[in-house]
Amino acid sequence: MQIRTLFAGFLAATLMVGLPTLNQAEAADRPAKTQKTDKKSKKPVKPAAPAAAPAPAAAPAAAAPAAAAPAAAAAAPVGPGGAVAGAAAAGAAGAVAAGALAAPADTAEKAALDKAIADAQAARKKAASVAGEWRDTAKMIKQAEEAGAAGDFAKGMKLASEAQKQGELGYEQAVKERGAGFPDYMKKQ
Amino acid sequence: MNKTLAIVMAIGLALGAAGALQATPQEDQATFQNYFIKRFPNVPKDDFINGAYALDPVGRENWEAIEEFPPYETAVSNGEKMWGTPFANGKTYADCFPDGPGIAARYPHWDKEKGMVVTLTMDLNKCREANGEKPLKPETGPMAELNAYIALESRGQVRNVEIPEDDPRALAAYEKGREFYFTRRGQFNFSCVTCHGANSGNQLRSEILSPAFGHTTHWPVYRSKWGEIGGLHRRYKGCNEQVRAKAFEADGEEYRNLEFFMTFMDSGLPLNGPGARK
Repeated sequence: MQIRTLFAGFLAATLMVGLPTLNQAEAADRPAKTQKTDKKSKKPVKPAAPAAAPAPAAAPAAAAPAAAAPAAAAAAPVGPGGAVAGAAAAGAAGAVAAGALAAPADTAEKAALDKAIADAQAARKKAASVAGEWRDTAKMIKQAEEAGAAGDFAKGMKLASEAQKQGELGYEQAVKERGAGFPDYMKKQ
Repeated sequence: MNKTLAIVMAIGLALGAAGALQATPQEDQATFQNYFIKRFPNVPKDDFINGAYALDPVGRENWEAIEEFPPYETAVSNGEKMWGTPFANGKTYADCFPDGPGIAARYPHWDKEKGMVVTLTMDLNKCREANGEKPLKPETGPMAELNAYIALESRGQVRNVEIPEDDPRALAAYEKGREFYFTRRGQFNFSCVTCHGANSGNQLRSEILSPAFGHTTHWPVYRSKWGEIGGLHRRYKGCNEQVRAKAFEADGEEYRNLEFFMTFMDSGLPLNGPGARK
């Protein structure tokens, strides 16, 4: 009697955990099946998961994890160990969601860095136009570009903004020094 | 009546101020040389060609010991060989410079035809190109070695740079060189005179800062720091970079004009190149 009760409880628990996962997998699988049908009919097909499309702004990016989770779950194997597979799928979904979040953020940071580098380059050229460029400005801009290429946008921004500052100061210095001549202490001798 | 007097006085003051602002190169030279002669009253005028060694007796002892077996000797030998070695067309430098290698005192000079200051390295490269050879890098390597030989052959000559009065462009080049010399630049906000004017004779770390007067007489120089011989424009580059300013091109307009100004300031001093410095 007790064994029956225990077995029934175990079965109920397994179903409670496994069924929602199966449902999610089926739900996610449906567009894929539709896609096959659509292929045959040669009609244009929408992407299976919205997460695959690049999000242009922050709001779509925030919505991406919810859409990405079922898509990832669909890829997870479903079978006797459905609960474990579901958990793994959820993890994978999180990872994909994180990627979906990171990509637009990177794009925004890269755009900001590109602008900072362009500003720094303009300031450097302005200083050079009055023979006031400083030694390390161009080097810093190059380092900022390298940092951006390596994905270290914070470092790149710091370097670019320092380079811009150097360019501006170099220009101001050169303009201020125009017409420099003998210092008074030499003339007074 | 009072109004007329005021106008006349104002004009007089304005003219006086303009005159004071626009000192002639000769007045500049007198101001420059007198400053250093008064700053270092124990240094004979001609001894300024020895830079910091004119001020530091211990450093001078060391330097004179080095000069017994000068580190630029190999460069001079190589330069002499270059002078005598025919180009591919059979001609030599002597065909371009018929008065021989002792020509350093003629440079830099104002070239009216070109409308620019011409340096010795420019004319040597011009000679090479006229004879089908590639120009050499002006401030280092074989060109510096050739210059070392020419400098040695020119020792003792007195250089008197001329700024032709009939060509205002020459005066403009001189004034640009003067402005460059006194312009603060770079992240450190230093000008040439910051170190070599009021601070000359002072100690900077382990070194004594040399006076500006005499700076152009002993080039090219074998610098221990370089481990080889190099030209004056190479030193200019190094100085600019030390104050964290972007350096200019050797034999470019900025350094040519600077050399023109500095050499004019040193007019009357004998040449003593090539030199040896730390």
